[in-house]
Parts: sequence; C-alpha cells; structure tokens
Amino acid sequence: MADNVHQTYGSVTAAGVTQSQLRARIVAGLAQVRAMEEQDLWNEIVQAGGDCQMDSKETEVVISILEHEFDRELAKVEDLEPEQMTTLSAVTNLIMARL
Amino acid sequence: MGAIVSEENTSTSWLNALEFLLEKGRDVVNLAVLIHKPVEEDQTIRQALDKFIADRRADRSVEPVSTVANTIFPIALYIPRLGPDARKHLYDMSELARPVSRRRNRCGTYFERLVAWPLEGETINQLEKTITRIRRVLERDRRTNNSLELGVSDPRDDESFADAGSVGLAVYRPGRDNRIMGFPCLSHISLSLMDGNLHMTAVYRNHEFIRRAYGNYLGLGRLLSFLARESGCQIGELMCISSHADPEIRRFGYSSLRNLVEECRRSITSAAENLAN
Repeated sequence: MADNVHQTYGSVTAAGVTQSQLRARIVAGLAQVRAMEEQDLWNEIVQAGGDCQMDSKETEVVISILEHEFDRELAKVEDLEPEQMTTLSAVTNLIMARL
Repeated sequence: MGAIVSEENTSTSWLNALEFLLEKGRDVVNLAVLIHKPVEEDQTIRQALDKFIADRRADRSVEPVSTVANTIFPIALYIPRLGPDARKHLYDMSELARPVSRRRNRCGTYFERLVAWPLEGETINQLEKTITRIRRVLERDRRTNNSLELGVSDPRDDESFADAGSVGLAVYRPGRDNRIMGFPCLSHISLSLMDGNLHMTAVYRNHEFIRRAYGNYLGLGRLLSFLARESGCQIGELMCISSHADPEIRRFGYSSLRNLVEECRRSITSAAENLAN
C-alpha cells in the first residue's frame, strides 16, 4: 500500500480506528466490489492524486461490508444522499463520523 | 391523445419528448418514446440536465440522473471482464448493498424486483431466468420467434415460456402496489427477440419527465445491454410507453423548462460547430 496516501490522517474514532485504517478498509472493500487487486486500486488512487471517484452503488456495498466488520450501522438515511458518496475521501469522512 | 417520439439516442429521445410535452403545455396520455440506440447518449444534453437537477437538489425528490438509472441497473456492479462470473458478482454485490439501499428506498428498487422478485418464503431472479430462456431460443437456432405478451408475469412460469421469443419481467405487484403515485411507476418490461436482436418495451403508469424519465431510459438501456450481452445477442431498440407523462410544469415552471430545452439545443449546436472546426 502506498505510504503517501495515508500521511494526513491521524484522528481516532470511538471504535479505536484511525482515519487511515478506515480508509484502508474502504479501499479493501472497494477492491472487492471492483473485483481487482487491492494494490492495483491503491496505485490508481496515488496516480489520481490521493482520491478516487466512487459510484453510489459501490459505496452502498462498501458500507454494507464495513457494517458487517464493525457490527454496527455506519450510515443513516440522511448520510446516503448521492453527493455524499462520490469519492473515497467523502465516504471516509461520512463513515468516520458514525464510527 | 397519444404520440410517438422516435429518435436515435437516449438524450435526443428524452429532449424531443420533453419538448413535445411543453408544446402541449400539460400532461399527456400514451406517450411512446422509441430509442434506436439505447446505450448511446449525447453528453451535452446530459450535462445540461445534470446541471438543472443539481441546481434544484434542495428538493431531495429531485435526484441525479445516475441515481435514477442505478435503481434499474447498477452499472458499476456489473464487470463484463469477469466473463462467466460477471452475473454472479453483480447479484452478490447488489444483495450486499440491499440493506443499505433500503434505508433510502424503503420499497426496494426496480433492480431488486428483477433479481429478487418477492414470493412467499422465497425470491426469484427474473434476470437469470430470462437469460436462460433467451439462450435456449438461440441454441435452437431460432433468431426470431413468436411474440408472447405477458400482462403481469409470474417469474415461476419459466418452463412454459422456454420456446418463446418474447418474455416479460414483472415489476408491479398486483394487490400490493396500490399507491397512486410513487414507486413502482414502472409496471412491466417486455422483451422480444427478432433477427438476433433483443428489443425491450417498458410501460410506466406515471412518468415524471424531469425527475425520472432520462434516468429511466438510461437504466433500461443498460439493462437491455446486460441482457443482450449475457444471452449472446445484439442490442435492439428500447420502446418506453408512458401511460401518463408529466412534464412537471407545476413543480419547475414552464419558463425554466423551456430554458432547459433551449440550453440543450444550444449545447448540441455548439458541440456540432466545435466538431466542424
């Protein structure tokens, strides 16, 4: 995983998860949705300047995967507006607020 | 009185239909829109509509085109490079998304009804059954077949339809979907195989032309593309019939809708001029 993708994230959630750890889990989930190697996705993210576009359906799957992992609801109905689910950074912030 | 709009791609079909409705200045019944190449879009028209919608998102019922299209076919979850595993991946991912999706779409989505039609104690994947039926027809070297119209189909009846060149996909649940407005506006999807081309007819009982129609056409075109690809035939035409078509003049205002149409027309002209230069 590329180190420079994680450099600006330091906050910790009540669940004891840092933002960079959460971001890594989201990327792992997104790689599963896209049926691609996680490392390849990280490379794409680095090439795109540290973020990536996400379709709202991809985001719904990733949230569902993480909800299984953390065994809690991570997005309320008001979080699921399409504009809030379009980038890796936006989805990370969205879930971070609920963890 | 009914009317037919026939155009090349999704964008121009929607634009001409909207312009027709604005000329009428009111709702119409039996508006049929025939799209010859339903997977093609004019990006200049799409961008103009996307901007119109984005400017009005304070009203949360005004949803982006991509969101509306995803309710019919979640294109991002279908990955053709997976070959024979692509369909299973699509179904698995959409099932994973369902609990989250249901928070916004409490009645479910059209796609959910297509892959998990609710019956007592079980669900039926209508898409999988449809692909199997079409493949059987093609395997028997019958590139064209008799038309079979299904009003409200029962997805369990697949064996009796094995020889049919037309199949139906049920969306509307009789006796259960009794709301006058709202989900499901799409009542039925019918498919016909003709000369190796798979054609689709979709019927909407109520069709809002700003908030829904473009995204519906796009989603249906993607669904048709998926079915054609997975069953081994070519993409045919999409016919979308709106039993009741609403230009949404009361919600958005006549002049703003006229401006949208003119903006779309200007965009087309401008893009054509840029190409010529």
